[in-house]
Amino acid sequence: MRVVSALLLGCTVSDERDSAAGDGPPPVEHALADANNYRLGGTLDAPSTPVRAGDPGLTFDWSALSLDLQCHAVDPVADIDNVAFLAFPNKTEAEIEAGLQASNLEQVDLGGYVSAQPGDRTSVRLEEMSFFGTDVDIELLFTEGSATWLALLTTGDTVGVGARALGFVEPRNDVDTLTVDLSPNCGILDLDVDLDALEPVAVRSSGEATLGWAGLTVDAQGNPIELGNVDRVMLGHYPDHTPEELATAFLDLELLTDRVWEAETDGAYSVDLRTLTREGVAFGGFEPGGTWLFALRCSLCSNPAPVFATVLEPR
Amino acid sequence: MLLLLLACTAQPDPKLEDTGAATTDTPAPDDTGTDPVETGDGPSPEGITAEITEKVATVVRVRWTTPEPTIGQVEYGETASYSHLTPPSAEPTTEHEVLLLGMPADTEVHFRVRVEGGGLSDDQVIRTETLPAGLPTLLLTGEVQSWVGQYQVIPVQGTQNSVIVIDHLGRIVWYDLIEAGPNMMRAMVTHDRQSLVYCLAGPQDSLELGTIVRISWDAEDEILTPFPYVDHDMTELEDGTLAAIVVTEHAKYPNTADRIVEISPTGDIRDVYNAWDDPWLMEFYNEVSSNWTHGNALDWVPAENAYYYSAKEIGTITKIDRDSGEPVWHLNGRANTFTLVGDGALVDMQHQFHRLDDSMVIFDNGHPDRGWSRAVEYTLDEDALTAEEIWSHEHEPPIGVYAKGDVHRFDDGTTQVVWSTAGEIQNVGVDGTVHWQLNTELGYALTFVQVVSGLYEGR
Repeated sequence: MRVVSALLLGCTVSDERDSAAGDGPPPVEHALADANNYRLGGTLDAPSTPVRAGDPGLTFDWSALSLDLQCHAVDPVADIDNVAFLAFPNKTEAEIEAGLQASNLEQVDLGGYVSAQPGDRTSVRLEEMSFFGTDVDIELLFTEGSATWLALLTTGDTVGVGARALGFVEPRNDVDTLTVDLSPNCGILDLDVDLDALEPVAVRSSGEATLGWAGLTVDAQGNPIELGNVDRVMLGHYPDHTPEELATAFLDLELLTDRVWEAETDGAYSVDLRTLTREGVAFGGFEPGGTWLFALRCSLCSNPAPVFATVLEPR
Repeated sequence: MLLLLLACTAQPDPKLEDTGAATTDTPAPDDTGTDPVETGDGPSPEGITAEITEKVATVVRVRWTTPEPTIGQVEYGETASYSHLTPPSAEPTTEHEVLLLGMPADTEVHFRVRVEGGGLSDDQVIRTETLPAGLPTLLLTGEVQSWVGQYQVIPVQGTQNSVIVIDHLGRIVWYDLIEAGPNMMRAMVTHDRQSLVYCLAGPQDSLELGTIVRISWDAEDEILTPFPYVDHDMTELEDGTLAAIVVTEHAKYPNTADRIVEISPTGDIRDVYNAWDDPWLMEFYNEVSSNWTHGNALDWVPAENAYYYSAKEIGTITKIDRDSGEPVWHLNGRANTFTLVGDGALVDMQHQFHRLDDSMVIFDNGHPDRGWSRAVEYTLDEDALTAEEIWSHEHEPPIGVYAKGDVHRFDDGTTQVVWSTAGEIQNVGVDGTVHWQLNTELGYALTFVQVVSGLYEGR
């Protein structure tokens, strides 16, 4: 797949490309542009818990977690694989929330990181955490005024990916609390999704279409796009939803339909829609009605929202 | 996809294109430390093929034949000026194969084949492929002068563990995605440039799973050698011997300390040093720590035939005579035996360091109470056992690196500082000016960094 991608990038642009306007059939090849992309904004408002500073017995507890930050059901035992504790020395809670939402924090913003895998438990103590297996005395750093501290529960053990719950933890000398309850998280994330302003992409209803994203410059949040991070493409059919309705339920995209065709990019910057599969069956063409959404996804990005999504209009 | 491919390719293999763009017969700038072979009237290269290797999108494999045994090599680069040169084949042969190393992803690579006493092929072009997902995005500011033409080997920990090799423009020219699990501390290109080796420690509760990995440039050959209880760091001697920190128990005590253990290229194992047998370090033994030494850095200095070993729990660097295994002196921390001359302060807790002729540059993590880290240089008088702080560099704003950290002094006097957990590398002048800086996105920390002058044998 990677080889084919490189070749396609080196190809001369065909005569059929980018001729969406007019009365003829839509082109086969489409060079996706920033104007085709949806817009993603929103706010994150994480809870904050003051606790006793510098105590290795500090306990993170999520035994009552039933809904994650996307308000999806979560099993506190089966779905939580990693607990991370992060220090941001030079950022306020508001700056971190904005940075997480906009995906523009850098590693240099991070002054401390430790984690633990809870297994079948629903709590871990600070003293159990390490830096990728290396023991660090993180409690010595966990002092009043040292940093803004964030606890993060994830599904999977990939750092920063698959967030299910999070909360700030404030080390204080005048507080005796030693437990952080990470259970209440539903509602802290408020997404603002705009699928109206984008320019839809006209495609042949036969499904004969190759979409290329090498020309994209920014992601849905307006950040410079890292095309190398795109590792999966998704085509979803929502027979009963308009784009406006999808925008209001954007966190539930994968719950609103089971008509999803996918493929891994293997480093390619384009895909032939007919190579996407659903339950092992290749995409055979567009059916009339409903909304067709094409998305580029990044499974290793902290923000689970697609970096690109557009509406396809079969003709 | 195949139809599209055929529709847009005018040549049998569009990735291998004879451009006819060769502009000069002048030998290329040398990447190997040897002169380009002289061409002549002998046989010309035939059947030249090139392909991107299956597992590394930036490595090109070139093959050709000659009708009789010849010495050959390939000039290559991002233009037909050919900035790189492979080593000449070791022995005359008719079937030739080389790997072109050091090229960035998604880039046209020009190359031509030189045959000693024979022909010179026309310029041909192949395009490297795009990088896979999971590698860190590197944000570069400034312009590097200190190590133009050199490379850096960087283990990356975080969202996706990997080993990357970057060029002076901060571009990834080689990579290997590493599965999560082992604690990867060190990766290095071997002295013979034939492969890379990684030190993979097991998780702290399963150190018996420690492994040394040796991997070829095309990532096709991977040799895993069990190295139980290896931890934190290793180094390579010029003959290919690997030396590593190994955690070891003691019959009379409940916890562990470190040994330095060598594995020769033939697999022979030799204990060099054992902290349990270092009477001065034993003065600082404690029962509280699971590993009361907690070695966290190891170097070998060939001019002295000595190891330098840092023990985090004591905060001390120990110089060890390789032949005898005896400690020579102890610098920094609680076991320090040096007298500080002048202003400044010795280090409480460090990671990696760079031993120079008369001085030593150290990454000073600092005790967590201090909250900030720095790079610091001391002149060392080994006879008088005196140390004098002569240079230091702190980050602006101050940051505390709570694990790892590395330094390297370049020939031009600038210093590379690796702020490991902050995912940042700086090239700093004597006056503290940051000439060049590389940052990773959130989720990618760095460990120890190896600076290599070239990727081929002979450098």
